[in-house]
Amino acid sequence: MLTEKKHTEPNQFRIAVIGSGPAGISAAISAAAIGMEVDWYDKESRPGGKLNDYHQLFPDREFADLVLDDFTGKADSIRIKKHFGTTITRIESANGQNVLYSNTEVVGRCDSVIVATGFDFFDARIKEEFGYGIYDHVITSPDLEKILKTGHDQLKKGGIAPESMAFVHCVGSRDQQIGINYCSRLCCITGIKQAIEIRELFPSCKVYNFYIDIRAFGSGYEELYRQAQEKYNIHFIRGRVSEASENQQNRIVVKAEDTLMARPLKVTVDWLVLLVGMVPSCTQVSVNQAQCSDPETGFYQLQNPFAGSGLEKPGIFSAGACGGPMSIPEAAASGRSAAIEAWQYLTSR
Amino acid sequence: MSGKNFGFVIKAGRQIDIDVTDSTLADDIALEVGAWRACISCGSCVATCPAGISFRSELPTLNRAFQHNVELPTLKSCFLCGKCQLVCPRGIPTRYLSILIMQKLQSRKNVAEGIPSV
Ligand SMILES: Cc1cc2nc3c(=O)[nH]c(=O)nc-3n(C[C@H](O)[C@H](O)[C@H](O)COP(=O)(O)OP(=O)(O)OC[C@H]3O[C@@H](n4cnc5c(N)ncnc54)[C@H](O)[C@@H]3O)c2cc1C
Ligand code: SF4
Ligand code: SF4
Ligand code: SF4
Repeated sequence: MLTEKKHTEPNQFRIAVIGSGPAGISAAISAAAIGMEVDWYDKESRPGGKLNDYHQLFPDREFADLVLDDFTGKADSIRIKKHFGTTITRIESANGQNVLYSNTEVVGRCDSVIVATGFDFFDARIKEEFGYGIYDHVITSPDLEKILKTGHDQLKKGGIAPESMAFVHCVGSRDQQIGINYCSRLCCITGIKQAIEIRELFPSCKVYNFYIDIRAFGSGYEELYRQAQEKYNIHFIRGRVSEASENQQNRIVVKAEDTLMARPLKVTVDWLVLLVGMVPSCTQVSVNQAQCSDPETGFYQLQNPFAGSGLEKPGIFSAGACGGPMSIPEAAASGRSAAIEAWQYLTSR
Repeated sequence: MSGKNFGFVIKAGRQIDIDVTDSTLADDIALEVGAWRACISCGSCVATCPAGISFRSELPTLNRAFQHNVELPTLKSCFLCGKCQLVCPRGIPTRYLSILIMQKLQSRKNVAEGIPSV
């Protein structure tokens, strides 16, 4: 018996990509390369997500702007229709058709959706003991990234380079007190990279990193850690900072236990940098009124992580850090993978 | 000289105060052996040393708790067998460091006491 082979042209499918960070960009580029028609949304007016605010990327210190230009250049395709400045709040999915809403307004219809809504930085004010939002010289890692990008002179006081600086690891991660038990994976290497940048900019500035464990898992990360110790003489002190306070000279006094020496420790620094973790985005999109998130972490929960990036509802896929902490190369890879999975879903249903 | 017995003693503070740490010796050593800062405190060297010497704790002491002309007495019993160096996963030349640190400490002491160096 002859079975008629279903003939499918890619351009008969419309796919929506929500988010334009590294994951969303890669998903849009790949979906367009397959030949599908792409509707691309972001709540911001320009693409790039967090990449817009970074200075240099670990582990190789590429300039974030160049990486972003390279990404967005490839996304200039006639198949990609950009709808920037549009926040998607929910998806209604029925009978293989998806309707996208921005609050009550219908903004699009499509056959498949890739959500790539990313993550938020942990709000460091919640950990009051570190003094963020209370003392001017306590900042977060994304704050420092912006300072490095827009001019490191902002770190000087009255034209004088800082004498010392400390970084606190695991702020808003691995902390039962605030109900966040997971590791954000990238803050260790961010702290290592930023510490190196500070040592390069201000060679006389002493730098202390207070850590619980150093988790430098990615390729090139351990090598950067070793360089930080050996070449840049950054002091890695195992112990969690218990409190930070300001002295009369507006410097920050940091207290911790040096757990390797089993002695309490004190150091005064000009700046305290909190390596904040990654938390689920507050603009995560719901599907048929459900959040689709992991009850433990709040990030999107994949239906079967071994099989792919599909969420519970068929035809809806997750890409990037909205599914949990990941690096830019990982987010980009998951965007490409989601595009192929969407194509497979559409041609086999 | 023994003081009055009040039934309790006041111990010297145990806090490491990095603000008053003397880092000149550490910096001096790093000029010769940069790798020594790469210690990850794994403890292999201590576990293997027949003389019970702990580079694991001497290195961080030098790095952040060293105060001017304080001695590192445990190093004195090192007999330079080199076992610690064989097991160090970070490739730190601990045996050589042992010699170097003692030499630097001695010459500082000499300077302090006005003894000319040879
Ligand atoms: C301090 C810090 C430094 C880092 N440095 C590096 C580094 O050097 N190298 C590296 O590999 N990784 C780095 N990372 C990790 C990196 O930030 C992430 O891997 C990357 O941003 C994830 O990309 P994404 O596309 O998943 O999410 P995001 O970059 O968060 O992008 C999400 C996009 O979705 C949009 N969006 C969200 N909700 C909606 C909605 N409802 N509707 C429409 N649009 C929406 C947002 O506006 C945003 O543009 C760092 C992380 C931190 C915390
Ligand atoms: S990556 Fe490092 S700093 Fe970040 S949560 Fe994990 S252990 Fe803590
Ligand atoms: S060289 Fe010295 S410190 Fe090293 S194992 Fe031998 S005795 Fe111990
Ligand atoms: S074996 Fe090497 S890395 Fe381990 S504690 Fe000793 S000196 Fe440090």
